[in-house]
Amino acid sequence: MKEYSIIGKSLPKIDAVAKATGKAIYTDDLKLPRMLTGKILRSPNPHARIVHMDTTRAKKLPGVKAIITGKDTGTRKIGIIEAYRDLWDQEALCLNKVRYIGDEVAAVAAIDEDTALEALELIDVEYEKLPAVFDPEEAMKPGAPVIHEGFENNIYIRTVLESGDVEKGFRDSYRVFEDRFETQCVVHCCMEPHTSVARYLDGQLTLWTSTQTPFAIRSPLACVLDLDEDKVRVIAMVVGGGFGGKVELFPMDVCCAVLSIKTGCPVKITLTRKEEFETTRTRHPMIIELKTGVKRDGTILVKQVRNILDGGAYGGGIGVGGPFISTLFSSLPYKLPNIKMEALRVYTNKSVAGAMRGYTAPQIHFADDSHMDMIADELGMDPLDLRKKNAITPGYKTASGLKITSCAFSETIDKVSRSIGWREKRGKLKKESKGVAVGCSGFISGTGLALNNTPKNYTSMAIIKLHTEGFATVYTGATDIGQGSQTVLSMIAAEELGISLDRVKMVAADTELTPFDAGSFGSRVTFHAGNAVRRAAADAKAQLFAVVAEKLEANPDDLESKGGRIYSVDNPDIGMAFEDAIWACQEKNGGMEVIGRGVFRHDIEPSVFTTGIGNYSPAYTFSTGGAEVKVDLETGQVEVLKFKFAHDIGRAINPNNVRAQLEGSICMGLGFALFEQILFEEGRMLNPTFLDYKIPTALDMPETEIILVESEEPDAPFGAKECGEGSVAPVGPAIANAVCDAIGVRIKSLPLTPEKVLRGLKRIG
Amino acid sequence: MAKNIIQLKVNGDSYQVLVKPNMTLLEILREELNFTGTKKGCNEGECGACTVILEGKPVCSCLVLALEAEGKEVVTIEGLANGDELHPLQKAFIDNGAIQCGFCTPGMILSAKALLDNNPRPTDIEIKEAIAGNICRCGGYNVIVNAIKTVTKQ
Amino acid sequence: MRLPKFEYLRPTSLDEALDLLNEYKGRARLIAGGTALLVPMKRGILTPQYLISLNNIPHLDGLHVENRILKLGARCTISTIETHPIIKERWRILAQAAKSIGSVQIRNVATVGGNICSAVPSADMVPSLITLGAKVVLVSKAGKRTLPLEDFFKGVGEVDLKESEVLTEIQIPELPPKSGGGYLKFSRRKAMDLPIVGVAAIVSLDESNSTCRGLKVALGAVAPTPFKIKGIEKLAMGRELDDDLIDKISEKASWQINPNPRSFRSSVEYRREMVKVLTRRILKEARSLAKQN
Repeated sequence: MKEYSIIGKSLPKIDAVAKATGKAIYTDDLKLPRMLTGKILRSPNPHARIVHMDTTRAKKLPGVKAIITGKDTGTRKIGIIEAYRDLWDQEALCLNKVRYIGDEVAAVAAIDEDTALEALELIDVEYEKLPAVFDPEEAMKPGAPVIHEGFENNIYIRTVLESGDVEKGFRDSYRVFEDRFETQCVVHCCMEPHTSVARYLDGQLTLWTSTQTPFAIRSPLACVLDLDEDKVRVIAMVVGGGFGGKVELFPMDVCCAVLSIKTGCPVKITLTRKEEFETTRTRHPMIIELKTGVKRDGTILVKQVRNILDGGAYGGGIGVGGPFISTLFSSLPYKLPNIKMEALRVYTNKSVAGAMRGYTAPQIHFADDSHMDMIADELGMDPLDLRKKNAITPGYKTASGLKITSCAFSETIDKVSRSIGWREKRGKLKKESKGVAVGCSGFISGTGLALNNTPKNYTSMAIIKLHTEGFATVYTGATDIGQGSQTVLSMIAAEELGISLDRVKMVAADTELTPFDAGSFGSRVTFHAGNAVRRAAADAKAQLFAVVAEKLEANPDDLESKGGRIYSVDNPDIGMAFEDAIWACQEKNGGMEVIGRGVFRHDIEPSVFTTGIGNYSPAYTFSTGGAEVKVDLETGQVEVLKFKFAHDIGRAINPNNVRAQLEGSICMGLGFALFEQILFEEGRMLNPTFLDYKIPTALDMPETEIILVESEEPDAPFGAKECGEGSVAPVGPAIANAVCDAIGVRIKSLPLTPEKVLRGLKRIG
Repeated sequence: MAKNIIQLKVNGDSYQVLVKPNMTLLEILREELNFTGTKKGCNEGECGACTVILEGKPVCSCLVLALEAEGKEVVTIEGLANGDELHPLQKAFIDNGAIQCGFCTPGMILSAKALLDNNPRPTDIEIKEAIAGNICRCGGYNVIVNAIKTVTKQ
Repeated sequence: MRLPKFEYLRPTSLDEALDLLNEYKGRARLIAGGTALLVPMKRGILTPQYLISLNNIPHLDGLHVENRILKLGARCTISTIETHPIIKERWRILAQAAKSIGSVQIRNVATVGGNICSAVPSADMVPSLITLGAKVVLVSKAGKRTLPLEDFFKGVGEVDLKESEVLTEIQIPELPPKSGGGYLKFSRRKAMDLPIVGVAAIVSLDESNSTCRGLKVALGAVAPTPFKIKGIEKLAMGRELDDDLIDKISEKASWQINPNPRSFRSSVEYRREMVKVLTRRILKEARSLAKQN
């Protein structure tokens, strides 16, 4: 693998000092003159008609500056994926009907928080309760309460795809395995709650917000406010975690804006932690029904899948993509010649489900890779052999049309199995009630979908401006949510330009100042925005090279820029300083500043949107996790002693950053597998607190080993693929499989609670 | 509610602040004194993002009434660096990639500082116990523990 | 999720506090550390109009041993109890219980009096204190009364503290020689958690190291209040505390629980099984510690 000056080095992140000194400005830190505090009134009923609302008493409270209801936010619905505008189903403030506990019905702006809260108490709302339904399978039955008119059986969206000959596949199979798996409701728990500040001034609305997608939320926001898009500016502040929970336009953002328009003052709304749990987004709880047919030697012949996604009360802008993406992950990471997949997203009267780190991959791979161990067990095969026999290889095209380019999947299996001590330990530690196992996953590297409709489906554009002092400013719409995109993009620019990292500045995530970027979701930033930045840098560099070549009487193709100097490769002594080249370029061009532009787009095959079959992403990643667990046979507690992880990352641009992201994925996967679960009772969330919703603490993390498997993806910037999302998925199946290895109990639902373990051991009823 | 003027000592400086009884130390720091480095994560003492050092001990400032902090020494994240000179823990977090979204970072660093001020050579378990009350959703605990360890070796 | 409005009173003597309690009867609550009180206030569950702070009253946070009785001021913080050398050496079970609570940040502010008076089913200090035979001292204008801690709890969130009384001190007698004990807090996570089951046990043996001279087990989180297991000291007294007897005692303990059947934190069945398992474990540990002493 080629060595670079900056790429591949664990340089300190460019925003680290600000964060370590408390100087980074998150949205709630923002204070504007005469800023008001906003608060939202929410439905206490899971399903009800709004009969009557009276805000008179609240309006009279001194210090209250405005109160708004559904009448003020208009009838236009909000959502996020422009191509599915006809499926946008959420109002900013409910006008006639509420569909879950927490649904927004009114908002208040007041001089301080105490007053705003008091005002909420004074708003009178009369509800007529309606029958509600909380389980997706119940919701699909005839006679179930109708949550949204026009959606038969409460099915929001359904994806069906079929390829090959499934019937023949089953007929030719030596054995057919059928299983059902279930995963629970979990939530993002970003440490920073959703916060927005809106200011309407001189006909312009500015929204400072904690978001992953400033451009994507601008259009629906402008639309619902009935403003032209150029009158709306969205600025992403420093974001304290997103994990997919901040990719959409939320009612609170609209309320902020409308309150600002009405009061003429800036308005800030920060969600409380309880609101954060109940009224933002959750991961989709899922039911996964698998039917796999295999040959005697373990080769998979056919796979049939039915995924039921519990969507909650609304489509949630991003929810519309859930079923499709679940079928995509069902196609990875093994070769499946014949497939039949059906996925449904169903309405229930509960908190809304959306995208969360991995977006159905953790659920799907928990099911799939538990299933693989079960199949291996029945066939009397080593689970590693079964996996490697069926593993996707470079250049493979899946039955669902995905074009796999680089792929180091088998290598990740080998490395992890060696590291976890497979040969010495698998099946051999039962006496100590310990077990080892692996779990695998495949993921997209750079979802090809821009949430907005864009010309030629371009997803990212970058501009680089060079300064005569020798530094560069990168303008990118990409949003850093903690994953380090600002640093990674700056490193890409620095490497391509041939200057040091401290000579690169960044302006990011402002719809007015930066060019378009689809947003930080679907693991696309390094790939898409990284490519755009690299191309912009190459463009700027080419302009310099043209001028330098003339001055040095050299061929532009023979020039190189490195270490702040542009020189002839054949004769390195001949060259000039980077800043001198910039000056020379401007002199030659009448003062015109050197500006480089780069764009990235990816062609999603149109058939993806019709038959569901076609290539979706420019590249794919693969990973294997290995767990060693010990089960306490008396309490049922599962302790993960060691976790090993190998990720087919293409190339690590900043290894420390990659490791931190992968550690984080393991932690989130651990929570998903063992500790986290949102419990509902009649639509009410029972544990919307950090006390009762158990995120792993420092004491709960096992000893980990992270193995980066580099294989240079040709279309990726410097060969780098995603690392922060696909890596959550292997944890669940690895732990579930290890528990089975330890005590022979197969648990087919998450979380793996001690009660489930004891029931499996028949120690409790 | 009667308002009181109290004296607060934050990062070595004295401030006179007007407080209502139902204001917490966290609110005073963030809203009245503009020490926005201290974060509000849950407001119920369950996440540690609001950790400050009060009379030498780490506490959740969201559960300390402002009136109770009167006359006591408070150290926030803003009080760690000495001008341009960063505290060794800050440097360690930066150099070892222990900061992702950064929201838990101020509280995390202060918990670590309080530990090292009392116990300069803690074991791994002692480090983890000291930061067990600081939740990091980005999941960087092992990286954070390693960063803290680089300071203990000095 | 914001504290409701209230007035904050800061008496500087116990007498003054008692006067205020009488003056604002029914509308006031006492506050020390605040970690247990402020959260329900933020959630709107408790809305006292007045908070009477105990933090400026001298001598309420003292810790000393007098006539072989440990006297803990009600305002002693959990972290003091966790780390104090006297407690670690002679009342180790209390240090264990203290360490299991919340996080460092919470322990630095929370007080033992607060933990007791919060009267939550899972109050972590209480089972250990009960097994130690702790007594609480309650002071009012009318005088002082002392009560065994196990009789202090009336129901969830309810203690036998009159509106005019302040809990000032907890008195804990010394353990007899050849005693060992421990507190096991069973929770999902390793920190920052409420117990699903909390078990405290103290075993005292005779000089021959075999015959049981005293045995106390108390449970938390499995009934409306923490409580002492009945009838087991009788079973064990004068007998060898072997594994069989420990099994019997654990089984008996598991049938005295009365947890909330609608609790989302755990099923009754699971809690019962855990009481059995953990009581067994903690008794074995207490037994070996007693033998070593």
